[in-house]
Amino acid sequence: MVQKYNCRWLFVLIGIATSSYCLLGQSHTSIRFITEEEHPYFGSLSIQHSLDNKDSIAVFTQRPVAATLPLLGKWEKVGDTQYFRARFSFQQGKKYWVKWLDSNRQESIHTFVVPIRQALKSPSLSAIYPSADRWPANQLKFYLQFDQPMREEVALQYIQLLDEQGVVVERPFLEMGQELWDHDHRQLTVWFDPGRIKTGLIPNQRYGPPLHPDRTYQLKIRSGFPAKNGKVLEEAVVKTFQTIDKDNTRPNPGQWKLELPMVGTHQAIKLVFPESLDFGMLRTGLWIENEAGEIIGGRPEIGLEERSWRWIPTSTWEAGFYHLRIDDDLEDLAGNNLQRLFDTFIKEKKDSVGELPTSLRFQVLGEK
Amino acid sequence: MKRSPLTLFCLLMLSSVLQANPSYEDLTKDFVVGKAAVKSLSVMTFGPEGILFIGDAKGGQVYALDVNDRKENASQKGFGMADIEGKLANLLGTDPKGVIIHDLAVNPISQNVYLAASRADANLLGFWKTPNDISNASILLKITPSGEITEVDLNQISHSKAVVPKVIDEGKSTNYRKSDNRTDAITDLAYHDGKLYIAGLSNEEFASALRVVDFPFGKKAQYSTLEVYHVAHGAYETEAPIRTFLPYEINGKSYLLGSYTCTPFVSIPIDELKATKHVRTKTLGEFGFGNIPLDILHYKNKGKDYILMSSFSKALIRIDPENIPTQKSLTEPLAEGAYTVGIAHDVLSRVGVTHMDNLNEKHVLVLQRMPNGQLSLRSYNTDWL
Repeated sequence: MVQKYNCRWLFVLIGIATSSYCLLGQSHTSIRFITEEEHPYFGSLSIQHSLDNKDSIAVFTQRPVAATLPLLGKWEKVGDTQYFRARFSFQQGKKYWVKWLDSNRQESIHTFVVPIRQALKSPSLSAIYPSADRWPANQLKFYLQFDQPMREEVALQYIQLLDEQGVVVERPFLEMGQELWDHDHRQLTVWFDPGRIKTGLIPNQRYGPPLHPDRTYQLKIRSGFPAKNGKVLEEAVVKTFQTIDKDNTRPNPGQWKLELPMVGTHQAIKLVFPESLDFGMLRTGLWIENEAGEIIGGRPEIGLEERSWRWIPTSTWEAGFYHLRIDDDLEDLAGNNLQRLFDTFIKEKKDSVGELPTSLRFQVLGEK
Repeated sequence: MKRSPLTLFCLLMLSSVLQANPSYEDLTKDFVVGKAAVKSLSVMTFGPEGILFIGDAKGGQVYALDVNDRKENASQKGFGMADIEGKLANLLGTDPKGVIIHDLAVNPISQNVYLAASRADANLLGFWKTPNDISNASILLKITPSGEITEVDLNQISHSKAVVPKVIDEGKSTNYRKSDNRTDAITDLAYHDGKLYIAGLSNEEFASALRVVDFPFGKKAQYSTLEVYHVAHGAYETEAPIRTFLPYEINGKSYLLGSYTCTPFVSIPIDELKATKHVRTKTLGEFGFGNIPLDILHYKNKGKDYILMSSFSKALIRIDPENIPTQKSLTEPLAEGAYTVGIAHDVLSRVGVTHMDNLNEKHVLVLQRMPNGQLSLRSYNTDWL
């Protein structure tokens, strides 16, 4: 993936407004913290004050009372503006108080907060799941992972599905009132429109499914997708995939291949699936318990094309029996889970496979 | 920072007998007005005629600053200022925990107090983390007896400077405090009889060094390495620098009395400090391990002389100098279970004192962490010390 970092020092304004304009009797005072790097008084305070006497202005780190000492610094007058350069630079995110006396010796106090300066980086797309290049024609959803928090409520403007002729497929995705971002706004879940996937529903009958088998599509994330910091995805990202037949079978744990660890090691237990499973569900839908039903600490790793899964335990394996627990919501790419097919009539509650196991018992052997 | 009123007295006596007392004009004739490019105000002490000596550990130089502060103040009153960190925070634009005071010196002529400070995170300080480990002091502040605080502008000041020979390299090694050894290139200064004595670490095999440079600057500095018998460690050591020292006269002979970390108290006859000589200091006492000495001075209590030392981890230590000549050199390790050994010393009821200096004949000025958590400038009447 091409990543372009067009870093620039910018200011993020937080909280309280940093400039003000006050009218007090005959005098007026305007206070501004200078955030433009090119400004000769960058990082200083500018005070436009109708009084010439700078002694009537002072800057403080707290609400000034009689004994409060003002900041050390230099005042310089340019035109009608006094610039105050603090002896030690103003601290980002810190609140300061400015006190001045107007021509009637009336005291005014104003506060300002120094903006937090950050290097703003353009976002980039770090991953698209499914990571495989072959998707079932009834693919239900996909995940976009960004390297930083992204802005909400604009995603579908920047996500396109293109057919083999490069023509944009009309409305293939579910348009939801609220987009499905994770808690830190880095991962977005996008659903193909289920109404078009499910056989017999009106959108399906009217518009057909969003994807057809045996075709090549392009999922395009357009440039301009904005991050929360205001920077945007600078270059479009395109994922090309081929569709295969619809997947109308449930994921069957009985067909998974289990690779067992050795006792006394931190070796992973590994599962190999005959098909790609849903990335999001793989992260949370599998765990290990001991015979007593206690969850074993560890971390999962999802393998290539989401066709395998590893669990690395925190502690070394002890000899004995364990259970691999499987959330019955665990899905394949087409949204079929252990309980039911995604595209099925309500009356046909089950396919012919019957009940599927939601637990696999295995043994870590002790030394002979 | 300590200084020696005795020194001034000796100077006065000597000069009246032997030669003309060097005048302000003589002492400052080589000074230039301009920027004193001090990289770190690591340690400081006053010399004659209101000349402030700065040890710049980072820059590997010493500066003599004419702080233009020679108006005599004969007051024998004390001086105090509560919550000095709060006031400095106001001035430097930060919070009280965003200020670190690195050293203190009183101008003996004016009784103005000088502080070396930095805007840095004081939360990082510890028993084994000194101010100079955390930051380089970059601002020199003057506090008058009336309580006015102003900055001494180092960009436009009459000064001279001297290179300290063979200072330990920066970025090459770290000490037990996990700080660059360069922070200890200059650990203390003292002016005595026309010479500036500079303790600290060198880049030599025996790192602990004492340099002697004539003032006014111009001649090349003399240089000695030091070896101390460290009672608490049970070994002769050459790696650790003297942390604080004081020129002092005993029976007509001049000595440097000083202390190392963890905490041997030693004497060095000044006449033994010749160029490139290796000097074994005399260990007079062990004041207890787990401590870093900070400042040492002497004062008179009702006509009798005492030596006073402040440190990071122990209350003020008082030594009767009359015990020094008879104290035999310590060369044996600390006995099992013992904490101190050697020269008798009192531990006074003054906790939390970091830096200190003689304010006048009747008062010692201290920086003291008070029970309410504030760091304050306080004076202690020498009649009660």
